[in-house]
Amino acid sequence: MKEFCIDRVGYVYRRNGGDVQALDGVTGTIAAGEFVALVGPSGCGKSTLLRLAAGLLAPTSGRLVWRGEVKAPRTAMVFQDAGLFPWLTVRDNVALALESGRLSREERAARVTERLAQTGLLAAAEALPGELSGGQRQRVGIARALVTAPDLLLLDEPFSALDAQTRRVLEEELIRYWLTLRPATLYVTHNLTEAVRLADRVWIMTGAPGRLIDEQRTDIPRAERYTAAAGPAIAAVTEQIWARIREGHR
Amino acid sequence: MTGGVTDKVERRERAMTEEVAVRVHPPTATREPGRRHVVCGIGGVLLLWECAVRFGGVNATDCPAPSMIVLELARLGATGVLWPALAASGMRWLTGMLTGCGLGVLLAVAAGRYRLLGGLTVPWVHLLYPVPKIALLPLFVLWLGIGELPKFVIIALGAFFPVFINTRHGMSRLPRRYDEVVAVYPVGTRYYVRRILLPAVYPSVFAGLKLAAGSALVLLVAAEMLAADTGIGALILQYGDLMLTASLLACVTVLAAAGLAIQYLIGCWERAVVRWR
Repeated sequence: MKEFCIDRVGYVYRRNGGDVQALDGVTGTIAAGEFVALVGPSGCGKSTLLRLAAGLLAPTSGRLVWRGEVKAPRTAMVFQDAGLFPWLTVRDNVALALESGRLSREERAARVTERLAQTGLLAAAEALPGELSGGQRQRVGIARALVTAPDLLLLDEPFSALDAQTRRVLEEELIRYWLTLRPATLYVTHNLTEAVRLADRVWIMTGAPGRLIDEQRTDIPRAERYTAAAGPAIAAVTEQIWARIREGHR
Repeated sequence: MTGGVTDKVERRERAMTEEVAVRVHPPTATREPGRRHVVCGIGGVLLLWECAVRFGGVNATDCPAPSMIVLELARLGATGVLWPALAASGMRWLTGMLTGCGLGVLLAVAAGRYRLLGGLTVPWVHLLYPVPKIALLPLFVLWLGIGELPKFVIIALGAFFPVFINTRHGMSRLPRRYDEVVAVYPVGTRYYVRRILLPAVYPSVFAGLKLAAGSALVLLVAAEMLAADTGIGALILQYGDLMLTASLLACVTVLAAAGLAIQYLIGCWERAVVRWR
């Protein structure tokens, strides 16, 4: 058993006009196989927390650690804009995530092909990102993250720039891929319904400085989450989260 | 009373059947000239020039007509005067360009990767960039002798600065996202430079190359005028001394054509390399 622990983490942005405390004493754990969504108002520090988890920033206070049976944890991240290199083909963009590993060229190619096939991108493997739709680009971003079989998967509002239909399609696809690997996952979103449908738990943040104020479990069976029958249950949990965010605002 | 109401109804009906086309006004902040405009612009000026010499009393010895220049160009080509000069100039330009641009890209990339090197080179480049390079030719002749080397060096210098500055500029403006992706998915230095950094700065490198090509051409002619017996620059100076204006302008035409061809070829190369844009 292993889990990713965020232990009293604080972060201060140093700026010329004075320091800005972005996060203060954020504490939480995500176990392997658990999907946690992070919601809260704009500027509350959700993305900062994600960047800290990814190692893109170093915490000003507190620590981020793995506990349990884990030697060299792999972290993968899906960016809001997919973060693809426009001159690399879809295949090369996905393969890039395996560059630092010890896999042979053949093994790498096989894993990339397998992941492209899983995400329905095999036909577009030699295309450039500029030739793809926004949804497909984001699919490449997800394929790149999953090809590493990560221990920690971080997603920073991956579907926020997409239209509602594509969002919903990708949401369902994401959870299908996720179920095959089940990494510990932290998913930042503004969309509460999306958070409830995807996550096992929803962390609720408040801003200035960013703190975790509550956690909401979404005890709706996964198999039912994308059915009409689950609509009222999802709406009820969404309302509870929204009420908590509103309280935090006051 | 009834007539008034009928008029009103008729007017309304007429108004309903009238059509006003939507005014089309696409945004036109800047407009590039079309091919027809370019042809008309260039052809018109050449025609005016030709007429001014043929019928307008302009002295053909001082300012030969375009047709005379074309004939002279054909003669220079046929008599074999032009080709050795063109070959000598081409060789100097190419050597200088390859050296200057190669060094410019390498040093800019290295300066961007290693802070110490950046600190040592960047201020000097910005300090020396405004110096007219041709002013240094006598110094290079003094240091390197009268041969080809000082000319190569001066042309390479002219090519180096635009490429270095543009490449550095391109590197400093790379999206932060690229660095974040590479931080999350680490890659080796070789892969990073070859597959990520260089392709990312190619557009800036090509912008630098286009400026460098023009700068190197100017310096080539200047250097040949000052310190060479061969080359297009030397020919121009020679024809100027002899007041052979048609021959002089024929050589200038060759330079203009060479400049255009170079820019076109660099453009093709850019489109082939930066095909993702």
